[in-house]
Amino acid sequence: MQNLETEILGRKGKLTLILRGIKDLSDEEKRTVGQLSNKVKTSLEKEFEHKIKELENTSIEKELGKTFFDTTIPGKTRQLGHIHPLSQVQEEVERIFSQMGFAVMDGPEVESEYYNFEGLNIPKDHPARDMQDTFFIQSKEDQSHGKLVLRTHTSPAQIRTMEKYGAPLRIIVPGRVFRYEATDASHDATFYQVEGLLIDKDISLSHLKGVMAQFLTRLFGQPVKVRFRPGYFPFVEPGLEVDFSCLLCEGKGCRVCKHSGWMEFMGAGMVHENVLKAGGINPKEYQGWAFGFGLTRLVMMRYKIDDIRLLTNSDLRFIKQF
Amino acid sequence: MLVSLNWLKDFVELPKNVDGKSLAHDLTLKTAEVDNVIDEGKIYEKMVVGHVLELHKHPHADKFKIAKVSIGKETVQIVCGGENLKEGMYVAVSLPGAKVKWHGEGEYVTLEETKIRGEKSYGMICAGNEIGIEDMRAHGEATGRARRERVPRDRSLQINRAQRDEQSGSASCETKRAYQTTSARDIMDLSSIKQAPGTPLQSLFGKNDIIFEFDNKSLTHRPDLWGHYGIAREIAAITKSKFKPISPKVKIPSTGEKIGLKIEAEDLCPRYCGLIINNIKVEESPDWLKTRLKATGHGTHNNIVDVTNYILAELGQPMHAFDKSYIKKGIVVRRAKKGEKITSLDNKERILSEEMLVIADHEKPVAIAGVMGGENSEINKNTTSIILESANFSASSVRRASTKLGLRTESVQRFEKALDPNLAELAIKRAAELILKICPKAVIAGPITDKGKFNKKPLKINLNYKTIISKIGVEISKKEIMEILKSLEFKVLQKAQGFTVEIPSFRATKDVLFEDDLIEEIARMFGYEKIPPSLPTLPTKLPMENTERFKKHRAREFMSYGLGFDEIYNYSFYGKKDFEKCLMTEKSHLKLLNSLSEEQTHLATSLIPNLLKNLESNTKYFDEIRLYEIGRTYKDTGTLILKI
Ligand SMILES: [Zn+2]
Repeated sequence: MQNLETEILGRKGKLTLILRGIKDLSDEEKRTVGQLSNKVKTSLEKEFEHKIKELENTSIEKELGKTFFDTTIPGKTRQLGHIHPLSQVQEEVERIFSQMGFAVMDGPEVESEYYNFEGLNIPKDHPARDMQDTFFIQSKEDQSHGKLVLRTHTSPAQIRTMEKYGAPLRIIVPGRVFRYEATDASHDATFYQVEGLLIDKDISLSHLKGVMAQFLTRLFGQPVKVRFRPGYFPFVEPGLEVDFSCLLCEGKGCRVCKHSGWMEFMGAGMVHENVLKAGGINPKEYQGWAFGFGLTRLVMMRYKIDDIRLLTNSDLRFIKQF
Repeated sequence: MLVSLNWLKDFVELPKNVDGKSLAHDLTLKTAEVDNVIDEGKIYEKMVVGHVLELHKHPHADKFKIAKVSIGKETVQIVCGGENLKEGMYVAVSLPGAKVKWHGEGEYVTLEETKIRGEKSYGMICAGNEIGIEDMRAHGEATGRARRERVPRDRSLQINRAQRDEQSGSASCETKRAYQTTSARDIMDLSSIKQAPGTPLQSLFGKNDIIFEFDNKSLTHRPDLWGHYGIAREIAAITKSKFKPISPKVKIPSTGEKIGLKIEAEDLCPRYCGLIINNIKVEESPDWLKTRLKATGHGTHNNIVDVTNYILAELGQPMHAFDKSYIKKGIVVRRAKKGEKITSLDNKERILSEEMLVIADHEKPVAIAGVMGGENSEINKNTTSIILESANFSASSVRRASTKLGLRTESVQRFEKALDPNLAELAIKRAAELILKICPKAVIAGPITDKGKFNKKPLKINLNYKTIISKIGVEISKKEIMEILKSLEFKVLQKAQGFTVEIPSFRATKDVLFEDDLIEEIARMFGYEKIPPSLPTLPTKLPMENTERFKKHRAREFMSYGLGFDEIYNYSFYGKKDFEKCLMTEKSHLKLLNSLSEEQTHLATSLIPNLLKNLESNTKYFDEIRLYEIGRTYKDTGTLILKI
């Protein structure tokens, strides 16, 4: 059937050749022949289409009639599905910290201003609030808790967990956080963080270095060193920026680490006494550290993803690579 | 914030050939992050004065000429298109390896030896804008207040996102006299100064500074570091060099004309110092002052305004100068009246509200305190008498006013960090010293008017030795601790359990208030790199189990590896259209007050609407789609849910 169609209507088909010949005719002939041949062409096309459909349908019916369809047989060579890279890395992080005795906690994503800011030693008018472009929710304002916000970091879970369980405490809190800011290849308004908190007696900065080095070494499967720099976060004192040795050049300096030998990784520090007090813990009795790193950034580093938006735009061509 | 090494050297004794990169590294590890080190000299690397000996026509192109140029020992051939090029002219030559901008636009490119239409060309004869020097005479100096100038810098240097818009700067203004050009595209003519061919442009233009670009965010908690003086103090402590405290040499008369000053809002203005200076001549600032201001990213306006900006960059104290003839009867520091208006120096009319602090005379507001001055009392070329203001305003008040007016200035940036009230007095003396230096005929009219209430009693903190060691996790001797604290100008008294530490006023406003703040000082100056990694000796115990979390991970394995579904992550938001398409209503939705787009106005009560969109967007690429999401949904329960 299709052969016949090509023979007549195809690029070198009989009718096509006639149509092409029209340009050599006189104006009046052009009009008559043109109209006629177009009419012929359209009706032929319609007929062909009709006949092909009819034939297709009968063949499907025939097929159905003679095949036994067993609904219990699984699809032929079904491909495995794919777990999102964020979930995969998150589970790995949770597993490593669990093995070191850290419990995995959750906290609400819709938070009060109190938990997101004041409780963490970030009062109103504090310049640090600039760094936290916040989504607000249309809601009544609570006297002590302020407005509802989408949490800008996982740190509110520090206070919530302290309030609930007291000291000593060994937890991590992976979760989704929100920033009211324009998105580009390296910034998204939604991303994932992992908060960590260790409170006990005699906990020191030296322990933070040790635990992070262990964690990163296990995560990357190669020896990783950790470096501290001064950093400022109102909820810790001393406050630190934590870098780890570049995985590619092992500290010698390369393009990936901008020739510094180090990769910026997270903010951390000793929990501020105001935060301990807000969580109901006596700072004279207990001390400890907290950290917060970007899980999303970790995923991007690990899989060399250069556009953060790929993680939330639900393009299966991307997801199927994991 | 941009900081000049030459300027720092006024306050700290550093070796002559201090390595900018390693100093930046030390500052980053001990004090605050330095994003960039800009070596001004490097910009002019491989650029020299050339003398055009011969000029010939190019055999294959009318537009070009072939120049034989002496660059010192050698004579080279350069193909050039400049119309004003003449035999005998002295020019700026960029040799192969130099970085230039073609016609002053776009990215810097590295020059190579090349052939232009078949003729060899060893480098390039430059127009001013091609090497980052613009013809300043043509643009007119000291005019536009907010004029931005091109920054000559290596293109490999990245500008921090947050600071990008605060940047400006330009070539040294001493260069202005060094050449004359008629148009930006013309070759820069250096004939008038007749420097020997081969002289590096760097020494010709006096470009010998190193500029440090600090990450402002990392200075958030340090009001004392918002000027060269404070940074120099840190460098002295880090490098164990000598710090040279500033002491203005200026005679302030004990009698004479004083400002009528009334502080009505004492809670928002802990201190106000004012000084009248007469016999002022407003003119362009001297080159040394302009060079420093420009090197650190400030515009230049006139000698008086420039001095106030100089003090801001040097000491971190914002100042303001009023034309005294526009001030009626005296200064009143008060809250604004409801709906009161002022036209600020940026030419915009601002409507004030009652919580904002203003500086006023007896008729009208003349400045928004700590934010910006008013146009009505601006220094102009006819000004002969000025009132200098050096004050201390409440950090949160300045910040609130700035936010409400949408007006962020360098002054706000500093006041909001909580400045030391003692700085106000030092700054006004230093400003007076500079003004007398620049306008030798100027006369200080009388004593400094100094009012306000602030705590003059120094803060003392007890520091327990055991706590220090326990929190840092490494043995540090008592002697070393004392040395560190003293190098940062803390006064230390040894006690049985540790120390009593007196905090210098410039650290005591907000920065160092608790024992832990001192522990931070000790830890960072001791060196974070010297803290060894160790593991805590905690009892082994199984962590509390998070059953829900655990089951979610198992569910993913089941969905993906068992049933062949792909997991996706969607945003937590959708728009009205999205849920209406799914026959849902707005009821029980949480709505955002501020959203990024029409499609992200509501928090999702169901994952379905976004999943349907995912189906739609993926049908282009796949015949069969199986996807799932494990995510949170949000419902408005009408109350604040505050317990988990
Ligand atoms: Zn590297």
